Amino acid sequence: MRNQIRLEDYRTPKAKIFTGRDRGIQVREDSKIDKLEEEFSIIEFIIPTNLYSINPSFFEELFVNVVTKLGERGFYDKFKFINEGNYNYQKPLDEAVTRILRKKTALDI
Amino acid sequence: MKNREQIKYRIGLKRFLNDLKRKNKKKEERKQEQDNYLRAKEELNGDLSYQNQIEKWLPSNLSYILSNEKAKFDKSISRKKVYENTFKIKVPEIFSLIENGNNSYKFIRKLTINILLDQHKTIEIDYSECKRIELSAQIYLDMILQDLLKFISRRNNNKNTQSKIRSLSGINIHNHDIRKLLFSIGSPAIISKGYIKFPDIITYKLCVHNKEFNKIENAKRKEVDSTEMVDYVIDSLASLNKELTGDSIEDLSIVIGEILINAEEHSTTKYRYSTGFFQKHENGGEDFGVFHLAIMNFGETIYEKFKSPTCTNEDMKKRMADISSRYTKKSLWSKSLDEETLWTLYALQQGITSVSIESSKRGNGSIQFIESFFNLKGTNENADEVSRMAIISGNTNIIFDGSYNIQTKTMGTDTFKVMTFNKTNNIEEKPDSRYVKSVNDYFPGTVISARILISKDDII
Repeated sequence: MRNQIRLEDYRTPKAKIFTGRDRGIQVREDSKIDKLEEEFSIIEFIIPTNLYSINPSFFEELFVNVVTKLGERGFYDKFKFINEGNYNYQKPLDEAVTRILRKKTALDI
Repeated sequence: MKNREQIKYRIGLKRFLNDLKRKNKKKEERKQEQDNYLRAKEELNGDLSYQNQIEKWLPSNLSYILSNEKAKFDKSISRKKVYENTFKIKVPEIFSLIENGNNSYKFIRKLTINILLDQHKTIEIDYSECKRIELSAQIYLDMILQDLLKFISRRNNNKNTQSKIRSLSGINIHNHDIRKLLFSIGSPAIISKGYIKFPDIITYKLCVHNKEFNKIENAKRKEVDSTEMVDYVIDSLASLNKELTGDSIEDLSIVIGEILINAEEHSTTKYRYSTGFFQKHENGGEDFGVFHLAIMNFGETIYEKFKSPTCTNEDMKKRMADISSRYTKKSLWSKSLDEETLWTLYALQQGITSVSIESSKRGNGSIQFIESFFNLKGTNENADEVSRMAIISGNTNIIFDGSYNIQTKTMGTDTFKVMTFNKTNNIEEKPDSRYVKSVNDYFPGTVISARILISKDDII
């Protein structure tokens, strides 16, 4: 087992978009990310080239357990993101982390 | 002499063989018809009545729509005696579920019922007075026509159940823009495969997805469908030698992807439908075209989903009921605002979901696609005046034209995006009834339509 997750390995053929909670769960399970987190102190996460978008809902389900366990800072300390393309993944990633850690909803006023 | 004899034999043999071929063909046809009859009899459990044909053979979505009392299809059944062979019906001047809901729904119901009544040989959809078609109305009509034709074709498989209808067509399609829409993505293109190539439109075929087909493939399917639709816009712009910026591609991907997810996850029937078309503007100006998009599902509406006993998120239901009950207490309900309208608006807010929250937070998809839509449209002084999005669910219409935008609210350490449709940005306050309203006509599911102007800001 290597301390690396290549998102390209989980790309749907012909797709340039990663979207949906169900897909986030699939990749979380297939990549064994939760187990990798337990075994390694640093994990490389490779964002592939030729992407249109990664929707926050996808990141949310993929990282839900590790972010909940490590917190925002701990997550970014442990997971090193390497971008092979031009897609700006940071915005949806930050949005996903915020959502995971949020406790209330917009109606809790 | 010898030659003449040979010709005679040759002709005789040829005639005999042709005759044999004809007889065999007829025999085959009779056999096929008998097989079809036996199959129909079996499928219909021996009861070939029209009622039973409708019950057993009508495609599931159409069956759902017709049986939904709120959609009022039964009100369109006329008792008038029919003497003509042709039924002609005029498409409303503005065919739009938002701008001319009353006439557009009425037209769809009347056409559907008259096809189902099966009293005419010819059905003519007359576009002579139609000046504009909005995509949500067209996708609704297309889906109904597609299902009706499937039903008719099944009936026509044998003489005992054969439909009277011999032809169904659009007539007087003189308006150039309507012609383009209909023959590139609308009914004539879908039904009769009568695609016409227009220089300023690249065709896009109606995408129908059955979510029960295969769960794993289903999860991946929306990634492929979203990519194809974004590629469609990219290709359309490429023909103008224009290229979208990375940010615009991302926003477009999120608008399409999240709406597709919404349509799929929240549909209580099996199917989601999506269509779009890009109309190029080759006027040398600063805008390059408009992308029209419509995504639709059938089944429980957004409000019905929350109201349903199957909605297990009791906490969320209680919170929605608490806020909306303040209106009940103050007797603020009006014709254009009721519990359904408010709950539909609440359902769009961040963190609101009908699904029980277990593994992680849900209910962010709607605000996500609304935000991406506004990124494409621009806000305040940078907003274009063309882009608009609408959500139609049951008796509720919500329209996003930029008059109100998403606001960020902070609550302790948490920040939220809200779309309140009022000046105070307080979800407890009354939304502007011009944009969040209850309407008379009921859509039996949810349809989200958008038109997005692609201008110089979106181009590299």
